[in-house]
Amino acid sequence: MVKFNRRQFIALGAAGAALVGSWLRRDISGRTVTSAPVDSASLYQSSNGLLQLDLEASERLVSLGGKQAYFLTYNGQIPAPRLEAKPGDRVRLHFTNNLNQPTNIHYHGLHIPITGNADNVFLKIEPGQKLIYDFQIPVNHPSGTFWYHPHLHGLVAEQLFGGLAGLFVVRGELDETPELKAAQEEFLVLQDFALDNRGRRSDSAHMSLMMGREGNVIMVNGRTNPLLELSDSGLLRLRILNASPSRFYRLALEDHAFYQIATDGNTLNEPIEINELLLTPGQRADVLVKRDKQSGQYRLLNLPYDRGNMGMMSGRGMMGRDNRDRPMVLATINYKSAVSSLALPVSLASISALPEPQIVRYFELNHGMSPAVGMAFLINGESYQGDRLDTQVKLNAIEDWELINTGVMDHPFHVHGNAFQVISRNGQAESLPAWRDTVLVKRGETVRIRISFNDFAGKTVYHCHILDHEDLGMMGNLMIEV
Amino acid sequence: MSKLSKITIVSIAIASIVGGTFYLTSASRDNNTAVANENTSQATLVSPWDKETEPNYSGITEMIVYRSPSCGCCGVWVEHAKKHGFKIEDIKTDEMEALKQEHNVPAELASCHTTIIDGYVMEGHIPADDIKRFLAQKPDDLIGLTVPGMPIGTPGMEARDIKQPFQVLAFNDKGETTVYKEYQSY
Repeated sequence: MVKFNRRQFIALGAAGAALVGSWLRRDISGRTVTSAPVDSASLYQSSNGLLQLDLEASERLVSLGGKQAYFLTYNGQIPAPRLEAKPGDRVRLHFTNNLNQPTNIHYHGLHIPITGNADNVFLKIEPGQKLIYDFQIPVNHPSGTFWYHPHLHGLVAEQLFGGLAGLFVVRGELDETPELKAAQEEFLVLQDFALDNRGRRSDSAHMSLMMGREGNVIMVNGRTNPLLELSDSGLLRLRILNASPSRFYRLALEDHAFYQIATDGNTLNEPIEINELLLTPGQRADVLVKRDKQSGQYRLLNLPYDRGNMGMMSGRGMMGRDNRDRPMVLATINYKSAVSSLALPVSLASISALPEPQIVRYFELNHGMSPAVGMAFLINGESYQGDRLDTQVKLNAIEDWELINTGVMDHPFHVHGNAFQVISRNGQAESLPAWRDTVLVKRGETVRIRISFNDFAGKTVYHCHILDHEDLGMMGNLMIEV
Repeated sequence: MSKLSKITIVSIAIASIVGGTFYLTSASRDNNTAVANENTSQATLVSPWDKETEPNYSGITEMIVYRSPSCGCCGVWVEHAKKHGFKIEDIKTDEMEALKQEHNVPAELASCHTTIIDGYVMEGHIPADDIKRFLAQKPDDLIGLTVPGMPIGTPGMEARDIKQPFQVLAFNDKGETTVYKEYQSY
């Protein structure tokens, strides 16, 4: 995401809209619109303070986009069931691993214990084994869009690319805002898959693991180009998750601006007008859309984004002609009646800046050859080792982490367990107050984040959320000590 | 690297197996004391590609390797080729794209470094002995070999025990390919 300077974005607005309009006349790759409901994922909601469910991971035959293929699924579904709970609720998730390899579950963005049967990435649940995840969502937990997916080092990219990912929504105060209560809420889970001509999931053995695997088919809630019918009143609230292991999404809605209200499940102070929304793997965004144009169909586009190459060639063209330089249609939005005077919420939250840090740490992101392990992705020159502690912090400490990408590819950096604030990018102060759990560090860029390690002690990780890079070593162990 | 100038770099370790520009900048800095096991052992990763399978090759051994200055794995491939008896003129250039066009390597067949030997083009991380076999055959309808992309496990792209299956493709000046050799396990 580029600088979130409100004025700049409004200024960019007109140009951006004109650009999207010009693509209309050109060939936009996409498929025919499917009219099935846009969100077909099953839903589990908490009641009386308890969210309880059975969740089974297994390889199943699933019909997606008119094709049948074997996917890795939770409860046989792509995307996985949506889970919804409230702050203070207890979560009891009876998990069974029926995959043919070990796995576990990471609750991405949730601020819950990082040890025991909670957000513990060091658990290893063998094939055929069961585990009851059992934790409480803190009473003061932010309400927002979070998600769950496997996180066993070495297998993360493969298991997400198979389909294992679902939303975890915390319902709370934000949802009671009158404008949001009246809004039509739609969830968009973005996933890409490698499917061959017959619709079979193809072997990822030949994918570019160095770049991070990307599939040839992009699906929204398990569908190609679903149609989203808008009701006759209210704003549209899109809650979007990038659940792809490596693919970036640069989203734009034809002729419409987005009004972003949340970053990674954390509410912004006020809606921010943007014409493009860049979502790296792992990131989420909540945006509002006004239905204030002529009634009709508008396409949600994925615009090209260059996230670097492998240090092979300076220009484009590397890795073949599927170097997506054309916009693609992800979904289509239809409304029959326009409304001209839909009010946006004015004030949503009040984010206060974290106090000055006690410690500054530096993390250099790159890849390279090391005599001991060969080609590896590195943080401060080290490839991940399970038994090495890379960073030790004190519970409740506030630290600045300077993330320095000296490589040739972009790296989205994710810290487990605690959200952070971006302080600066390339030395330029960040103007938008926001909480995030994943931040893009572009090639050549230095991003400084400020983070407070609250409430939960124990060992967890930080890593690149291009999951092949994570599996190939770009991860570190973080110990939060009492 | 200029952006790093403000930061105290305590030590920069540059891997010793290849000289020149190389990615592995191990910069440990203040305040991030990596605790415990300094067990990045000094042992060098054993490569399955070290073995000589074409001992009787008697063809041309002089090759020119073009690569971008920042390409670390290209340097490791150069070492691989040297181990197998090739004599290498190692040219670092930022004009890799133009160079590939000049030698009729289409984008979908491209990799990082481009090697010219005996009038043929050898693209990417090809096992050296496949180059010897190809040169011994001297096919006149083909312009060279390629391993497109950068599959992990190929010579110069070794990464622990990860071995992606890959194909060595032979191609002509129209960019048409045939499978020259397939490596499922190695």
